[in-house]
Amino acid sequence: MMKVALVTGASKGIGKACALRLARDGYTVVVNYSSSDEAANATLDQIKAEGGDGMIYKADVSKLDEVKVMVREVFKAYGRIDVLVNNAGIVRDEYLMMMNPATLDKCFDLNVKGYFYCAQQVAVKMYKQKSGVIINMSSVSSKFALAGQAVYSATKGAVNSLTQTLAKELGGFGIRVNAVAPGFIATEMIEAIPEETRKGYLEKIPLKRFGSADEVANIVSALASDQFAYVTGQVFVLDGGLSL
Amino acid sequence: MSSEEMKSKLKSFFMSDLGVDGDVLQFDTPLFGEEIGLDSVDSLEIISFVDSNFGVSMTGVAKENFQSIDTIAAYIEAHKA
Repeated sequence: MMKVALVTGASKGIGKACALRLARDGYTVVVNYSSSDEAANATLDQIKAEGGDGMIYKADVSKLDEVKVMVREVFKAYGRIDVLVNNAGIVRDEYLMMMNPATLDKCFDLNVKGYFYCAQQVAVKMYKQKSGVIINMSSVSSKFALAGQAVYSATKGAVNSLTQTLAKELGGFGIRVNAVAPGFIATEMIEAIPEETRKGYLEKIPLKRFGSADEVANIVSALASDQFAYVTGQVFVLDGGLSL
Repeated sequence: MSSEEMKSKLKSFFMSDLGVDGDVLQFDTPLFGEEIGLDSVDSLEIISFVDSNFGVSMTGVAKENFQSIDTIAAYIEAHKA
């Protein structure tokens, strides 16, 4: 039977790695993205080149109307959604005293409301199947404070709470909800940080290296599988020991 | 389907799928109050039933619309294609 995974923000970085990994696991993957057609197509091309299947779907998940249409269209195309990876998000580091209300709104709209909207729409479909897995991308910032990350940390703390609550609300319908909290992962986001700052971060990580997007995808793959059938409402930290 | 038929169908669903006592449940009985005592988990079942049977999506709709069979029927009536 076909299994379908919807990965938000899957055109690059961790989302892309998750999409590729789930495709290798046999899922038909919906690559959601909001801006770069080229990057999304590249992800889908790679999935297909590796023998997988799927589609790209452009939607801004911070907008409920767009999420509704996306989930409806995915369901129309494939008839089911087995896994939702809520991954689309942004980082905007600002110190408290410099915090701009627009930044605050933008971060909460995408990092929190977007997760709510996708979970809400997909849960109705999963309810009908009496099965499903929702995996929310959190961050080590939800547990380990870094000055300047008040907004990002707050949104990811909200994701952890959301994960636990949804696990309780949806568990009775065979729907599991977990979160993955990566630390510093070698993506474009990390590459954009000045060399000196990066060195400073590395000194704080017991394993003395940044994680890879593939390592995050490994956990997502495991959580989506039946090997984790008895696990729900948990936040899995993947940070090389940073938060210890 | 008339409004009364719609309400009867909803009432049958509440009785058969959610185990609500039909003698207590009137069209205007508060569903989430003490009398019937439905909770957030039941709301997913209601939304799924309405979606499947009436083709109306009630995800993200204000709680007031779920107050009773009357209010759910009114929402369906106002939003059906």
